[in-house]
Amino acid sequence: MLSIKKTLLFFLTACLFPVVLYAEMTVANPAALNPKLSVVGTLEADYSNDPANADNARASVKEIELGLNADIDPFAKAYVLLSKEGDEFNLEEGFVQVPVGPFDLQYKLGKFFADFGKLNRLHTHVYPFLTEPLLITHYFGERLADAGVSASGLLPLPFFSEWTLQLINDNGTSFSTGDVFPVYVGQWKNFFELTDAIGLETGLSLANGHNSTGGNTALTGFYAQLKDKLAANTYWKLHSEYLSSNYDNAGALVNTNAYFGVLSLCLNREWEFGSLGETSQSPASTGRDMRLAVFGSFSPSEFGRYRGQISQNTDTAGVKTLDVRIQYVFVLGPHAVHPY
Amino acid sequence: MKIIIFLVVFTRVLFSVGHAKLMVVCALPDFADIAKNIGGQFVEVSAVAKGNEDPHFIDPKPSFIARLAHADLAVVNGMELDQWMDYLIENSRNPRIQKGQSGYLDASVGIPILDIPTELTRAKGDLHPQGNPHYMLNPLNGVRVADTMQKRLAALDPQHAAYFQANFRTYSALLNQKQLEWKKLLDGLKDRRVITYHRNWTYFADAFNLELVGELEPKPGITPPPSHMVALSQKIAREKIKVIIIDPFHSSAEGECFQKDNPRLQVLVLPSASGGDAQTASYNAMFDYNVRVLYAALKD
Repeated sequence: MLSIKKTLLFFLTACLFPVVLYAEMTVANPAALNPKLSVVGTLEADYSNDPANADNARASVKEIELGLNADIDPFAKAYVLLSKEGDEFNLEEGFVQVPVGPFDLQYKLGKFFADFGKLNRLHTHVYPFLTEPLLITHYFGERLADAGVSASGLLPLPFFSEWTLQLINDNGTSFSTGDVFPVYVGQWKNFFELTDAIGLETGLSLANGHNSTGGNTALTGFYAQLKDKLAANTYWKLHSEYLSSNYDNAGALVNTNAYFGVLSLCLNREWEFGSLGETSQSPASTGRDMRLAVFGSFSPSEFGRYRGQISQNTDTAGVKTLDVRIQYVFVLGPHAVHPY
Repeated sequence: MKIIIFLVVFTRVLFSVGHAKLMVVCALPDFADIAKNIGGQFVEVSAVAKGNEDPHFIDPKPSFIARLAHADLAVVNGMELDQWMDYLIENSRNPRIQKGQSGYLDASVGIPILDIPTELTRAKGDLHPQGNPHYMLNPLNGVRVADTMQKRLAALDPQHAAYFQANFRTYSALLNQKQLEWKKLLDGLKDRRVITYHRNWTYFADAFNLELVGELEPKPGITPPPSHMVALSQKIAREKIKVIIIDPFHSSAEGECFQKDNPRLQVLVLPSASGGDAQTASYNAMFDYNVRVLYAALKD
């Protein structure tokens, strides 16, 4: 797996290097053709009363993410996201995208976050809350993400309707493909504009592949997001996601599931508050973890955000613990498009 | 594999149904109004943003992607004001309107740009590296955009090129005539000083010789802190400034709080784009309204 990542990183760097070099040699503004560069940093202080948590009161650089992207040529773009989390440095995403390819489809090749639900596609610093959803950590580890190929298109319907088919390697919790058998991922995403202000987004996802016991895992996911824009910079958003897993544990079929729900209220460009509730089993275990949390954030500018979260966690044995997190998230570089 | 082939064929067959009219999707309502005036009966026009929305922060709703999937021409403001439009265009998977294609029109090309930053650092706020992107607040830039648009429409639909050109001549004559009238009216003012919320009225001030003497935002994109508000309030009292302009998507309360110490101060909620309400439904009407209201506030 490591060799694929290294090869991919080398390939993407090799694609971008001539662009940088060419820009420096010939154009009036040497920086014009350089890749867009951005850094997202997450600084965190947290406290937990969980005695099992060795790091129960600490400050840390939770994550530094370096992003590069540029057009390779008129036909393709490259995105590279490297992240340093703790002592680990890894390629979070690195892919070539053909925005409009043959048959008017969009293609991706490389390592990317799979289109399974909405939570899996978003980076942690983009969430309005601070913790990784249990649904993600329990069923995918970090993310359902690895090297693979993707094709997606729009269905000719009077509303937005998008299908995506992906084949990826994955060696997370639910799948273990060992670089040989791919995980098949499919998603059907729709958007309904109920009124000018209210939009409903839904997605149905399927994933199927081998797991580490040699059996098969089949995941089904569904998400819905309702967003109501009350004023220019004021909205509330309800996001709900469900996952069901059929995990063939060496002949014994384990059926488990997870649910995640979050309600957030953005008061203006500066303040956002919300609460979440989630519960999750694990692919091979029917024990259930739960989390209830409230969170809030203050953004003095587009490029800096203070945020905090208080969570009550209940583990599979029913033991309740409390944790408090405070973060400062900063962005260096150009404006990013806000996700819907 | 069969599923993929079915989806591809199904999509291609249904998307290939031709349109009698050119379908134009514009980032901002000002462009849409100009496109309607130039394209007339041979275009079907819509805008992504509304006149009362902040163009910096438009929700990239997936429904816009569906609309752009059928477009023949996408008109963007450019200069990093409407990057959400590039995201929507890219995800429309419509090859006709991708960057570099004849169906992609960056309206800022050919516009004389103001406020190009000499020092580019976020310490100076949310700067636009290529300059101030709110160029549509000068009606002469509207004429320039109309000219660019008629040429592009003619290239996409050569059969009706003469019609687009004739419409352009009529429309530009009207805007040029109105520009002279608006300028003449505001030229009669003795006091031309105004304060704005954001630095988006630069082109308007340039067109009508107004003097921008301050902003509520201490730096672009930064919400006014109390210390800045106090200093601004003192400046308003000291220099007897009469008018603050607030866009409809900002809170007028932030301007009204100055009225306690400066009772003669008027807070004008003026649209910086057309289409926000019935009075400012067109690009032309927006200037009519803004000039009239501003004149009434500054004339005494």
